[in-house]
Amino acid sequence: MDRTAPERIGRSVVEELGLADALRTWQALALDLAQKIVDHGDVVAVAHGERMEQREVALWLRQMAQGRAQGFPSGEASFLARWAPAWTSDALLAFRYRLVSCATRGALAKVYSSAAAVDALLIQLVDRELRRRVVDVELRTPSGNGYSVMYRGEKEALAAWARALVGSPRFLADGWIVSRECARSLEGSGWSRPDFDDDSGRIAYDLAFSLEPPGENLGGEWALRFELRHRWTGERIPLSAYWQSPSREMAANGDVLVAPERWFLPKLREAARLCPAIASALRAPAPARAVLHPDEMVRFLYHELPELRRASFVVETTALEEARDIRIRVRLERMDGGAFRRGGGRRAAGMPRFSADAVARFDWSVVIDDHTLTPEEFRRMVERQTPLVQVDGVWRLVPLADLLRQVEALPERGQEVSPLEWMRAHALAAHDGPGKMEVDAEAPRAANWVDVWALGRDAEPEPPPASFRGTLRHYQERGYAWLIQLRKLGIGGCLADDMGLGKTVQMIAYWLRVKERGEASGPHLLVCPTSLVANWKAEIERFAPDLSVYVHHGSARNLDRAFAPPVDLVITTYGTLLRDGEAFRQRAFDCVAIDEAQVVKNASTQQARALRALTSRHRVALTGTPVENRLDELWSLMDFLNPGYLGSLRWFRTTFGSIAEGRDLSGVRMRQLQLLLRPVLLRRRKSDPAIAPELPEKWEVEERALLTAEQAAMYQALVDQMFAQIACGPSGIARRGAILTTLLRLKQVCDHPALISGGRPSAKRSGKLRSLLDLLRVVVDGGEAALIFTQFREMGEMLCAAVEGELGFRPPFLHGGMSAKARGEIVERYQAKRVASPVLVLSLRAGGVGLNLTRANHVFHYDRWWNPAVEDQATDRAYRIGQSRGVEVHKMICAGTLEERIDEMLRAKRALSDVVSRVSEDWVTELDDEALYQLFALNPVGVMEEDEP
Amino acid sequence: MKRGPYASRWEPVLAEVDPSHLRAATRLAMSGAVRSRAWDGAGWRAVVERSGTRRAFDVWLPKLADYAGHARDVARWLAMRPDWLAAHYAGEWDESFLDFLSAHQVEVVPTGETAARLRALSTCTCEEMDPLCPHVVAVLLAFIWEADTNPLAAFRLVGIEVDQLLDLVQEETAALASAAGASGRTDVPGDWSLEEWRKDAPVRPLGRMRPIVRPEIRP
Repeated sequence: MDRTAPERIGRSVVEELGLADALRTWQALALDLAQKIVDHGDVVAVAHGERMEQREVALWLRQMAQGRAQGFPSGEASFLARWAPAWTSDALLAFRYRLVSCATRGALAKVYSSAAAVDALLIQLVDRELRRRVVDVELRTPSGNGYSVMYRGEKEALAAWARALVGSPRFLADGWIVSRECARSLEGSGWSRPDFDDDSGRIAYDLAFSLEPPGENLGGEWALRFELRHRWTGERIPLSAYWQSPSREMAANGDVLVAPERWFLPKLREAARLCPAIASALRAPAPARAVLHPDEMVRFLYHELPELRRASFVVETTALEEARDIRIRVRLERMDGGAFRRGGGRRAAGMPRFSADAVARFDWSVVIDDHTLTPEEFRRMVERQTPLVQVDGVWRLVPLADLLRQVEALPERGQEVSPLEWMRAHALAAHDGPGKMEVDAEAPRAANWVDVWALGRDAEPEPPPASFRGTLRHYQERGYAWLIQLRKLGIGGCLADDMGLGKTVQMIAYWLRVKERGEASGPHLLVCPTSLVANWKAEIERFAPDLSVYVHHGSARNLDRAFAPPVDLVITTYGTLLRDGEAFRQRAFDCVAIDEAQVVKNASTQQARALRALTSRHRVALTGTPVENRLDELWSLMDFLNPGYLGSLRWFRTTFGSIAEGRDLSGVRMRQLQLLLRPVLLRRRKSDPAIAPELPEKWEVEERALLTAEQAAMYQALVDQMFAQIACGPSGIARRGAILTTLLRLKQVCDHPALISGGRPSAKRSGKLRSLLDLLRVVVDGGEAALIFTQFREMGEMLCAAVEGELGFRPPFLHGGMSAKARGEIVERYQAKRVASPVLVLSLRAGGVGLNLTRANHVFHYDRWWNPAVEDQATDRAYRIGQSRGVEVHKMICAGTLEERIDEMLRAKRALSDVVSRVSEDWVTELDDEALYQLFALNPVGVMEEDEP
Repeated sequence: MKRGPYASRWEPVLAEVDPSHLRAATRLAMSGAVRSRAWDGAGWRAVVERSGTRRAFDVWLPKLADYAGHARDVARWLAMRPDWLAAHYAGEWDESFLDFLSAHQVEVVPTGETAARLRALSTCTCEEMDPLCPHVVAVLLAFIWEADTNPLAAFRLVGIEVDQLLDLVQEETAALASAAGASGRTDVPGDWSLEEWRKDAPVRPLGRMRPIVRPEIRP
């Protein structure tokens, strides 16, 4: 093999500067290297025979290091001490390689014909440079711990050698000792490396790859250029340069590489195993680059490139960057829309059916680092599976598969979409991919609702209805405005405020507003549990007396009465709706609202089906607990409000199953579900920072219940009996006795008929008890605690049994029959939460004073005590120092009975305060017969149907 | 011992060797008894010398074919297929190269006549009547085993030296690269200095004697 190519080597140096100049330049570089070697301390102390020539010294060191040299004979002889380069630094060794190639492969070869000649010069230069700087020599032991056993004469030999390294280089020592020490010093030095004499360049170069982009054309081919890359300077030699060389030598960057294919071809073969394009290139002559077709780029970038890098190949991709900013820009052009919702229709399997009509035309585009891709460009990228976009001359790598999945969640371009469809698409796409969703703000007709719903901003404020008798709190105003906003968009919503935050008044304000603006297309329908009918009616009479209400309930019900002329609101119960389903289905309502909406938590129940079959323009659900046990309940609720919004039940379970199982609570699915629900579910807690300051520390709520038929009959019989007695004109005492006895009996009837007639203390027999249990369930589900006061001990026992039967735990009962110690224990255990029950039943007399029961933040007055001071004292067991939450006082009242009438008197006529402040109930006995009748008479509306669920 | 792909191709030839001779030859080849191989233009001379004995035998192995005049053709094949060359440098046979040689009856890979040729022309100074004596076979095995990990060495059996072949491959490659208009240039800067080198050049202290330098001079 011809290993000299004088016509090519060192050309630039020799031709331009001439031999002398080149020599001078080269020697300056050699000196520079020697100084760097000394600077870095990459030196080793050696010694050689006095008569050895410099070139022989270099060869001898090489052989010594490789264990091939014969040592000096034993016996004292004269040696020369030298500092030599140790070549432990790869970088410095690579520089030596350059000096050697440059000197021995060109005109300088006349002076330095071999590598040994260059090494000899470097040894000389290093020795001279270090001697200029050295002041002393540190003698170390091989182990570095300062102690070792030495041969005889070794210590003296080393001392002489050390002196010779600082001063005059000549010293006398035993030849065997000098040889042995030299061999040990050179162990691990560069001199011992097998590639020390390697001239192929592998000591300084690596095989590297450089990815080169195509021209402007997206469909053009990419190239992976093969290069030899200098490990320290980064200088690169394209492999094509070597292949064009007719000899197996190549000069580049001052280096001369002799037959470098010896190492780069096996490397290329190794890379070919990882990258088929390289393998393909290697099967053609003079492989200088691998061609990558656009459809190969995904595999290359995501699989082969990482593999190559893992295998320690340098692959430069300077023309390619990861796309940093990926956005999906959505454009919505508003159209006119809005229509009635017809429930009960079939929908294609798997396809969501949305309620609101299309109101906007949908369009989207992808923006990569401020470069907007036309839809055609994006389509071409997808078709060709080319995840690359050129932006400002740099190719950006786009995670196409993830982006495509995200885009596929969006409607088709040009499709007409409803707000609901947009919300759903946005929720599913927003967090499930690399693209940030943004709505094109420049589109003039982009509807406001896009901002409102997609970006989660508050609804625009809505002025409260003028005829509303009362004042809405701020959060109630927001809730009411939210309901109005949903109505405008034709989207059903669930108002899920905590109990006590005033869902009722927000709904009443909504109905009033619709009435005032004349927007109602028919009566509204409210469906609620029977126990709440009275409450609703009372609240409407209190806050919105202008609303005409028809209660479709009881034996005399007739839905036609609600439509001729149409009333504003029809109130009915779930049971009645089920029974009169056909009549309801034939009517169209403006807004269907359902209270205690958790009753539709199972979509397959008859009630849920009956609700879905109703025809209405708008649907609203009111509940304090949108999800009680399973996530499916949410789906059922939404299936009533906005059918199809949460997809099919199967899809919903598959998609959000991880959340239901308690996993992935902070992941993509959770964020998707939150985004889906944010526009259609308004959930507010009493503890929300924005709401808590608005709530009073203590507030009273009247909870109205209907009498059962049994209660009503018994009530009427007692009233009739009393009037029969007093009609006989008894004495004043007898009259008073009859009135007071009846008063007591009527209160007991309102509480529970079993208090009068005995029998099973079932909750079915008492409307008030049923209502109380409904309320208690909400309290307990919300993790709160309650006190229940009653003035009848038997009622207290009944309450404990009813709570146990309904809620699964038996509350303790604190009453006057207990010792003071027992009472103290009950209070202490309840406060310390050492009883499982969050409910405590108390007799008003025994528990009304002196106790501290701040664990509870709900107080139920199961029966009324006509002296408010007594009730207040009882309430203060919970509302006192130590109470950290607001206290909600529930006053249980049977609608249509004397309980309600006296309550009205207390509330409406403050002038009676002096009367009612009396401790006794004697004032009643002083009323004349007419007033007494007004007080005691039973209003028939307040009777519950027996077969209500 | 484990045979490589090339050695496997020789199995039919070696099957014709007397088994006891083959065993003896294997022992000789493995013990390094084959020495002084030299090309004489028509074949290979070698000395087979068992350690521990005073006897050495001169063996002459005929070339399997004369490809000396076709070295450039072989170089052109290799220039066309750098993957074959890469496999050579990696010390492995590329199966497609081996198949190519077989398909084109390049006698680097034994043909049906190889055994007969060896039997007819090989010579040895031992007393064995069988021309494929243990010494001849030992020399043959040495060539085969060498070629197993150094594929182009197989061409020595047909009169082409490896270095000569590789130089020709480069010439052919250069011709093909120029014809294909391959881009690229040899960058030869006239000026370079150590400052361009990276500054991080970690070193390991060696030996028992370490210099203590003047602080003001220490970098």
